[in-house]
Amino acid sequence: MELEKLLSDYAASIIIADEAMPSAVKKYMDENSEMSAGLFLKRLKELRITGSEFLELLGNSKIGNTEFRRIQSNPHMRFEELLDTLDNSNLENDDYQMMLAVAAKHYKIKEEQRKAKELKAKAESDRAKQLLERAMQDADKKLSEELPTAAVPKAPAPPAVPTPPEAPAIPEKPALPPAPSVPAVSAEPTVPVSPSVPAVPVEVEKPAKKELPADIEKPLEAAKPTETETPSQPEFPAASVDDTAAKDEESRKRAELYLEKALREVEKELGTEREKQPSDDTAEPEKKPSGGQPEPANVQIKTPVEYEDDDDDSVEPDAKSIGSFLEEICEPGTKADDKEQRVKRPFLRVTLALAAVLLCVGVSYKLLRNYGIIPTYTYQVTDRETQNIKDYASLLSESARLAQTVSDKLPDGITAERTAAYKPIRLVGDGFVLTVDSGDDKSIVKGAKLENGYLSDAFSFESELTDAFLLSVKDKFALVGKSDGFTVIRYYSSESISKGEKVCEIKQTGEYIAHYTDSKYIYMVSKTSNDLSKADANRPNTFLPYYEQNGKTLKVQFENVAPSACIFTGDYYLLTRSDGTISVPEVKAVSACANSNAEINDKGLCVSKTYNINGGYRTELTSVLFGSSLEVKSTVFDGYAYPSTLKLCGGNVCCIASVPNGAGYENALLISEISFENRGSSTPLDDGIYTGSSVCGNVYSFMKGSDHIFAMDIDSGAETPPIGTTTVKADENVYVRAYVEADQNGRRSGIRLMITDKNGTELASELIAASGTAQEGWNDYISTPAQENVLSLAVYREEETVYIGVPVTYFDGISTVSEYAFFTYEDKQLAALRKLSVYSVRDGYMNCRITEDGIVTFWSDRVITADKKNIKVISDIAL
Amino acid sequence: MHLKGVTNMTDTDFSALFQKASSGDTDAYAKLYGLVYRSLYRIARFSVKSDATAVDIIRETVTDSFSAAHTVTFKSAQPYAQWMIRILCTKIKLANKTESDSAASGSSVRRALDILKPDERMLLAVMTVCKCPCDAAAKLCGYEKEQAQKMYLSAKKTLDTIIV
Repeated sequence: MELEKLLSDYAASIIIADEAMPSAVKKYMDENSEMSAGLFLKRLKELRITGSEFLELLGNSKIGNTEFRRIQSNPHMRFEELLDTLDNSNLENDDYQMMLAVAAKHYKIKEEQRKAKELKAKAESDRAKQLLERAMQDADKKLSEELPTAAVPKAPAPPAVPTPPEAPAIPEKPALPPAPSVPAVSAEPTVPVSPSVPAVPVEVEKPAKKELPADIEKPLEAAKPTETETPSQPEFPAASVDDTAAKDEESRKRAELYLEKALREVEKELGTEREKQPSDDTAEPEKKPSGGQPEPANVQIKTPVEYEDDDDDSVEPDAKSIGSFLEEICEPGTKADDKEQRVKRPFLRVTLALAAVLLCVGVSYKLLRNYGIIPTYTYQVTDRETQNIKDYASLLSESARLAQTVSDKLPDGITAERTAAYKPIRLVGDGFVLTVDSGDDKSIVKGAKLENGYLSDAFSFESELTDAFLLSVKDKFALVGKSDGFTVIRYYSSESISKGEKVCEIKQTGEYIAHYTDSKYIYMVSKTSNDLSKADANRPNTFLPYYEQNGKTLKVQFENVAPSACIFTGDYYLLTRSDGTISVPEVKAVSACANSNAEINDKGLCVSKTYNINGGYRTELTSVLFGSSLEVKSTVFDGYAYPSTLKLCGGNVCCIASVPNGAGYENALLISEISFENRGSSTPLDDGIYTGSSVCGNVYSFMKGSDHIFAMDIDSGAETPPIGTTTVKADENVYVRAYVEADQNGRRSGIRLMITDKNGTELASELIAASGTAQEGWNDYISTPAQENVLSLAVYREEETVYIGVPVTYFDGISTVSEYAFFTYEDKQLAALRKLSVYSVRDGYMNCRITEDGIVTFWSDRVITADKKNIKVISDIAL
Repeated sequence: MHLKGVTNMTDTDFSALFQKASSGDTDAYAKLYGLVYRSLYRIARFSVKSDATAVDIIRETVTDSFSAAHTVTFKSAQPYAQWMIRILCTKIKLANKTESDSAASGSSVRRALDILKPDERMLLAVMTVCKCPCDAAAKLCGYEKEQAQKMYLSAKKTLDTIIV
């Protein structure tokens, strides 16, 4: 109590500074209320501008070309990215104000046009209604004149809703007894006793218009009792209709002719403008009679005209996409532009139709292959090139010889881009958490001891390595980075890490390519390029990669250069296997070229190399197997590989290549054991350029062009639904995926966490929404880093329970919220645990490791540990 | 949660004023600010070590909230006040990252407060000025409940040792 009173007294004694008084703050606001990018976008959304208008505004401003193109070419840009782009552009307060003024003017004009259009449409609608009623009455009158009035029941049309005043009409029923009426009616061929004919005027005059077509088209059904009919009514029309079906048909046709004529007259009166109006209530009687019957042409042509008449034809597709993005940032319930919606609908229909066709083709293809109509065949492996290489000197001379005649140029359009390997910059190791932040010329390693979830004894040290990341192996930690053209692995022990004292250092030439760690070793791959023309046969380090251990330079022994069918460059991948001890690392150098790619996993390293010799393409695959020794295996086939499709999937090498088929080249998916001991399989694929691939579990997914994704289960050889790069395998039949969910208009509704089996069948799912600070949520700005980096999605299996941490970021109106939402999956049930949230992590970095001991989350410069069952925070420190 | 120390205003008046402020009327916004400025300034000054920093925080809070006023709707003063305090706390956190360590001065309470960790000081400030329990303050400050309880106990222990 004493302390609280002291604090309370102190708080009360604080004198409000003059600058914080409302008058002073108002003055400050007036002087400093500069328009920011955020405020600009918020104001724009109120003005409901379209994507094309947004681009037009930007295009006419003084925004730089780079920023403009970036926005224009990226229709799915996230809100934060757009904000950053505008913030970093040269746009200032005056520019934003001017663009807003223009947008406001457009908005005003559009609103006026819209109102005028609505008024006009309403006037025409009323006029059409009147004309239609008049025409229908005329038609009815003409029809009535042709029919003997005696045969027409005076009150034959049963009212849709039973009303006492009309009940007396029913007593006429005895005049038409069900059975005897048949011959009587049949004797009068021109008498339309069907209830459909007299129903025509009733339908027009009364609200129950929809009964008109039903009566005309299906008189028997129309005669059945409905909820709104009196109990005595069904028998009356049913008896007449049942007995006079043939006559009904004739009379109905006559009625339709009159009706059609009446409709034509209405159309004629209204002229062509009427056709352009969206159908409204008055159009219902026109459309309904056409159901199942020959439809009047003037009714049929109305709907397409709506779309063709859109005056937004000049808008480019990407502009429309940006329009959808802008709609995304609008508040819920607002629509950017009705016209845009109308344009989207047919586009969506076409897309769905194409998707259906694609699906059918896929299924047919699978069936054909299963039944052996499309054969699975093996690919040809040709003999190696003849190069007489027996030592360093001959290696150089032979390489230089073939460099004159062999090219590594791939056909146009095929690039050798590879997906950058993931470099972990946050690490939970044995008793430590470590982070590394790299700058242009140095890296700073920070860490703390971790014991039972508690963090203590924080430390940090600097390193000259750049682009650094962290690994752990056995009882050591490794800092990997680049320095002076080398890829450096610096080992630290548990004792030395807090002091920043390395216990061992391996440097290998070339740029970092990939790595793999197991319980004993770090396998590191770098790529070196040497100019053969400057090489010296007596100095192997001038044309081969080399490495250093604790400052001592070591060359790659000749026997450790992997044999190759054709060496024609000074490009090599260097693989080192080290454990941070004094033992000399084991190494292998694998010949490469500009279009090479390398992939690594627990089984080994695989390198692809395509070259063009004598007018034909050949591809060499070389594997280094991670056994007790680093054994090398290789194979060669005719054709060229799509470099970015090379992947290791368990013990298999998967790659898409274009192989000769006699007449030319055809695409095929090649799968082989990593040791190439058995002949591999080849599955023909469609034409096109294959651009990327990914592996999740035993499913190999590959991409054609920019958006066609296919997948194959490597074990069974069957096609499967693609498992995206946003999926993590928890066990053989539990796959975890997180993605942004949006409605058909692109408006985000949250992050969908989905558990699927390996075939992609949903087992459970949960939607994670933003937690807003105010009344309304902020799902419009929600996103998940897991879509860009699946490793930020934390998945950990313990016995029968899978623990899942889903990274979520959103803008809550005040600041960026970074949040991990935790779940458990057990017995096919997803259960939400709690969330860990951090505000204003501007650089957006977040990562999470769930281990046996608990949860460790990393947020830019903070580390928070928590209990994994209750998500109870244990420690929270800033490193 | 009902924050004490927030001047009351009828909900109708508040809604009208907020609507005007949302459309960019600085006069209206200054009136809204007038409802909460004492509490805001006291929290800010309690949480940071100098008047100048407190004034900067207040200015940033007002500017940001004014900019974001389009995006929210409040029908009464209480949720508005809570919203303002959340923005204020975000600004205090940012300011505490960059505020230099100045020599402790002022009353014994102030000197003791300056010894606390910035996050602990901010939590105490919200609890003291708003006269709300630790859980409620945690929500306004953007902390987890357990985390805030630990901070509060730690701060209390420190202050008990120094000034009580």
